[in-house]
Amino acid sequence: MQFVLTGISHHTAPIDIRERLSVAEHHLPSALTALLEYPGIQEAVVLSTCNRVEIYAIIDTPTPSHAHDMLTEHLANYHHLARHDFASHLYQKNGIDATLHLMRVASGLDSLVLGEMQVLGQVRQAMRIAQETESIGSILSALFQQAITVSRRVQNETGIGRGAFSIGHAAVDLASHIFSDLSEASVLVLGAGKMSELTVRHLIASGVKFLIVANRTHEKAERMANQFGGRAIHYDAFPEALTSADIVIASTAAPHTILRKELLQPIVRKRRGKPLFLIDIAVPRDIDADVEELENVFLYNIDDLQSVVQEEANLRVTEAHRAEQITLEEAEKFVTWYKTREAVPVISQLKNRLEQIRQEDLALLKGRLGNLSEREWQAIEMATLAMMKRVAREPILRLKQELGAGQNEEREKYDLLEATREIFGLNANTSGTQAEENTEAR
Amino acid sequence: MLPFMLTLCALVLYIASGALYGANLFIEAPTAPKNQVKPTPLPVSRFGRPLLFTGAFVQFVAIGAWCVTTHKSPFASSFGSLSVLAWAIALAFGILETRRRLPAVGAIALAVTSLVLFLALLQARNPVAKTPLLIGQLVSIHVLAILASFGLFAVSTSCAVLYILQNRLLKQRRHNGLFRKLPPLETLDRTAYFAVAYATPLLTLGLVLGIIRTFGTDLPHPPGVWLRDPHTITALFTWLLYLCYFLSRLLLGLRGVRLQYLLILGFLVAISLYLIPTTTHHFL
Repeated sequence: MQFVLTGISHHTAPIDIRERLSVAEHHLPSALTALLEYPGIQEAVVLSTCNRVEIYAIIDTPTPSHAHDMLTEHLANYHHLARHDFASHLYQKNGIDATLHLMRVASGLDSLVLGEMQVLGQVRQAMRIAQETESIGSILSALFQQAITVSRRVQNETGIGRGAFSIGHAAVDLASHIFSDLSEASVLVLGAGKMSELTVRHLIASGVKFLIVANRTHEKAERMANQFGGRAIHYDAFPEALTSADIVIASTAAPHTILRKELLQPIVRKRRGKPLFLIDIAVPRDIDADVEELENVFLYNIDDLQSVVQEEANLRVTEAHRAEQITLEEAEKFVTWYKTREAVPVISQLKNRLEQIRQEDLALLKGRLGNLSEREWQAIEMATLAMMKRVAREPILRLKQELGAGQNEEREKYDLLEATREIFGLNANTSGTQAEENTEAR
Repeated sequence: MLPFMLTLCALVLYIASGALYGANLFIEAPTAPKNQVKPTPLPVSRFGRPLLFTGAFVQFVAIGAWCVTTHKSPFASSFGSLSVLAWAIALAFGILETRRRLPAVGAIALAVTSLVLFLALLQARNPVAKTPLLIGQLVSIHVLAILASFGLFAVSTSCAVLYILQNRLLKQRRHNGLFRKLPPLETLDRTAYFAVAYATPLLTLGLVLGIIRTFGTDLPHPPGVWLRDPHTITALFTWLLYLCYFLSRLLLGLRGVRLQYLLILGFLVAISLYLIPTTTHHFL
């Protein structure tokens, strides 16, 4: 049985290759169904985002290369492409490498922008669609669930997912240190350009509800206001709107500054100390630097925001080392669990056999010592149970250790399993239930 | 001896709690996930709260034990009144902490609490007033209301200090470290206002009861002497400052950095009550 991953990402392939291999969300069920038609594929999950297309699969083949071959063939057939069009961009991973890869992806360590956690939602979605299509079994379910848990651990224990990833993020980040609830903050946009639109998008996503747009071309202001559920005002009316706004995004194409200290001073007085956050993302600048001297006014231009983004990026690089350690640790745990699963049927059988012997002997004893009280019987039961557990403990522990030891000792592992079966007279054909196996292995 | 031992225990607990809240500001460790507006408290500050409440409980027992052993009101000695003041600050922050989760405020509020309690312990051997003037519900409520308001003022001042600090960090564009651990300006402003909104009526009540008491026939001085006392004048000036803050916030909607300076000034004047010589408020 092989656990493999075949895929492409922004690290290995340009966008034109990635888009040819990508699978839209509504096509994922059909892609999974097509995969399961290949002989030997027992479980499969397709993770398709704008930066990656990856297939995780459990395949019953003699070697991993057979399994990778099968997945590459599926990609070629499903997307109607020739193998040589994309094969050189593929990466192929097995076992712990594939496990580690998924955990790194879910934790944002493999993202285009380090620490970007949008991918976590896509990992969750890939798992959900695979569950709905019934292409995922106990192993990949456990792996994806574990990857989501690891991602949460990485977020909680490191600063990798923290802070600003873009100018828009930086603006939201700073605003959240001024205003306690962005849903109550009012945003005034001066200049309905692309940059201000991006920043507004982030603010709206962070809960901003009150939006006013002013633009020299009123139609453009109306278009943006309609897009985000705001209100458009005439450009000349913006000084009035400044009295009630909490956040101002200035991004006009004006060749000179439109907000100067003299203009703002009376407005600031009318605001009675209410903080005003000015975001100037225009080049050349829309807001005079001396505005910063006004009390309760916080002015950030594009360079300031860039430096916030850069500081955060530097911090994330240092945090990435800690995050890598966590993912490696968790990947090793998962692989150990995966390997010990092989021992589960034998362990179950061993336990059942010992329990059977115990019950038989207790029945014999009951016949001979019939007059014992309920309490005395309980004591005997407890003693025999404890004895059985002590006898079974060492062999079970040894089996788990041997199976978790590593792939080099594969031959030895199988001998030990066989030896256990022979010593305790266990039937090789019967095994515990799936639920028992999972519980045991955990 | 027992009351002092318990007070010492409470002091240790407050220092430990304050240190944990303070550590929260400086230890570089897990922080709020991106887009999460409210800062997530670190594990260290989680231990701060139980320590704080244990300290407040121990101190409550200490005050009770002192009253039982001396058969006096806690306000009959400088140790007792300072101890109650420390307890009021700790309790005011404790209530705020359960409602709003502001560990950064705890770092300052509990430092003030510990300092006040330490000063109380230094005066533990001071004599206890035996005058019957301090007996009676009117006097007890008068002092208790004033000390409770001071507890809330301490919390509002802690918020004001953090507001000024956060305002400065924003102006200087220093976005890492402390900046990330401090609450948003608006939260600090609202919390300070919330504390003053409760404290001002309490102070008003305390002062009104005090004025009523000056008309008592059993007092050694006529009302005029009590009202001309620098201690009383300072208390009235404190009340005026906080009333100014409260009304300008409530009626005029004023806020911002200048009001925070007013809060700090108000607390400094309030604390100066313990330093200003009094012609009437000595009962030994």
